[in-house]
Amino acid sequence: MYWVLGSRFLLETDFVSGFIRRSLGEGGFRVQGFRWEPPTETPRAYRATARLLKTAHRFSIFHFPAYFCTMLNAQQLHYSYDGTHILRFPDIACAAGEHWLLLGQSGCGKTTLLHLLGGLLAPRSGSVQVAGTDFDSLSTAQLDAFRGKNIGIIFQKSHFARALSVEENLLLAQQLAGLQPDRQRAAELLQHLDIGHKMKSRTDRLSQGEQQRVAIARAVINRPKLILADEPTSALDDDNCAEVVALLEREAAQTGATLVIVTHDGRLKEKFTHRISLQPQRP
Amino acid sequence: MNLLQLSWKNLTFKPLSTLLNVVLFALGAGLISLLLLLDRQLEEKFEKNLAGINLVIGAKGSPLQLILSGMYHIDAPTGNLPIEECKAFLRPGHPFIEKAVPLSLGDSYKSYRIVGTDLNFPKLYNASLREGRLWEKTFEVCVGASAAERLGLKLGDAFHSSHGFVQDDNLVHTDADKFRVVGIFNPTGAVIDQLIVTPTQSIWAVHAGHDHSEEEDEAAREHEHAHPEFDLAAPLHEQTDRAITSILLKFKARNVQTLNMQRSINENTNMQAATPAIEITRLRGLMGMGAEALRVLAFVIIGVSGLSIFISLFGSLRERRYELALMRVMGASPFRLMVLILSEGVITALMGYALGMALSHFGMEIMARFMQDEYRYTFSGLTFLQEEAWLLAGALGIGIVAALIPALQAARTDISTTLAEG
Repeated sequence: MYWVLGSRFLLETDFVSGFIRRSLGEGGFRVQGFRWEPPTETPRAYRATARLLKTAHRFSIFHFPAYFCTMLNAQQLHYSYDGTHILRFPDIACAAGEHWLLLGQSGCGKTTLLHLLGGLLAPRSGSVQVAGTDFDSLSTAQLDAFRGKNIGIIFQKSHFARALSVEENLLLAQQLAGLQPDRQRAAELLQHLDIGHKMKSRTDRLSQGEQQRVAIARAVINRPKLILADEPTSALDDDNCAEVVALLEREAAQTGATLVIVTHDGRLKEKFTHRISLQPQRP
Repeated sequence: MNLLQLSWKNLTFKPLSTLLNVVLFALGAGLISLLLLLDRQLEEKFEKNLAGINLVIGAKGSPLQLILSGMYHIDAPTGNLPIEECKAFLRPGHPFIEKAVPLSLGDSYKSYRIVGTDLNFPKLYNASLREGRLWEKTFEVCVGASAAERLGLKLGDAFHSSHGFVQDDNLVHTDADKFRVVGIFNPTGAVIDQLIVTPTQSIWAVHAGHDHSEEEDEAAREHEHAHPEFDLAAPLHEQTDRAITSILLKFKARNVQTLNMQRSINENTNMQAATPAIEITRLRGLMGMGAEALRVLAFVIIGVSGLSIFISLFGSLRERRYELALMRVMGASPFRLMVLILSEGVITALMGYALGMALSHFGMEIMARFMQDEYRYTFSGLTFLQEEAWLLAGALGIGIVAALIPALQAARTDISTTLAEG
């Protein structure tokens, strides 16, 4: 049991002290003469074991079961567009298969955070790990390949390869991620999202809602471990909003992916139990 | 959906702009290839037909015309050369001359030229007989390979010659004997393929009628079949009352005397002598200026087409920046985006090259038909040159250069900023 519980947190050594603080109280406590002080840093034994396991994981000697891994872990993220004005983001840790909502008002850096989590931007400081891989340890091309295989991203506005049909866009996503194009998977996915009849259409002939569905299909086609969605519902009415969220949750659940939605849309609040509120950035 | 397919889809997504680029490139490449083809084939024709001839002697006039008519059989002959004047060259045993071949031109059959000459003429071009034999008496002809094929002449066929080089029923020598085909040459690639060759005396016999009055003509006609005065055995240089058109000379060696011979003929006699190599160089120089201008034009067109490829790729980058950023998001490395754009440029250039080659060879084939009809010269659009492989390499190079800057730009796409914009 220790092994199973421990493995989830052992992956990220700094996380352990945070976990202990959070679960046992920041200020420590006193029970019948016994005084508990929260550790200021992770105990050395944890760190050594964690390093060993991480090395084993990296060289594929053994694998943590996905459920016990923290799929997305962002620590101490800072970003700056101009070098003086610094955006700070809360630490994020999402387990495999969890659905998270990052809520924040306009201007608090939601899109920036999503780009940082997706490896589209490099943070000024702090680290992002997805499925145990630190973005810092990858070159640009490696990061691109990693992202293609493991992260599906849905943007606020859908863009597609304009010269390709809906089906070809999905096949391109597979091809670019280095996978074998699988027409059957693409067709099934589109059927599943109720746009199977638009398979051969050009993407600019689709309605906004249809484009959003194709974007979802493209994000999940490679069975990513992490799905990031940037304001997927902001342009939709209540019915469509509920439907798109349901679709996202369903597709994520189908592949066991971790789903992270970044939004300012208050309508989604009740639907998610895992929530992080982004604070407005102070200048 | 690999990168090449994607490039192709992107190109066909903008068919008009792609078509413009391809056609521009095809024009440039086609023009260069056509010039190369023409140049090479003309050079080959000129080389082959030089046949080791050092000097051509004919009546006064344009030396270029003398060469063109006497050696290449394309222009009209300069005039008559009385044997009285030129017998010195025809007489065997001249110290400098290895071979002197007399030519009598001016008649034709269905616009294929009939050349009156002696048995040395086929030897100049190493023409061997495919069938039949060489002539033994007047009015016997041996026919060049392509002439025989185009005219459908077989051994034993007979025809009336016609005056001049155009086919005109009024100019047919109906009063003279018919020529009879006794031999057909193998193809040589030289001008003799296009000619009908007969002894000089045949030409004299055909024209014998013109000089006489009508009564004499009647009388002459009675003896026609005998032609006692046209004895092939009698040496030409003794028939001083007759005339020929020109003499092709082959020297034993080129030296000061032979150079002087040309000058002294031109200065001291009513004849003129011309050196084929010099005249052809002059002709090629004249044509060369036109060819040079065309070549420059072709390179300008290719340059413009490269620029056009560059501009359309660069322009499309702006429209496609989201798409490119998305491809990065989906796992394409910057290098793959670069390859994508480069291959769009290269595919355009290669299509242009292919179309250009098709155009130039097709055009050459059409010109070959035209020249066959007009000048009796055979060219072909189906020969391919080594230079065309270089042209292919050049096309690849231009495609790459034109696409390089857009490709680098695509590789440098900042995904975050681009996606945040849209």
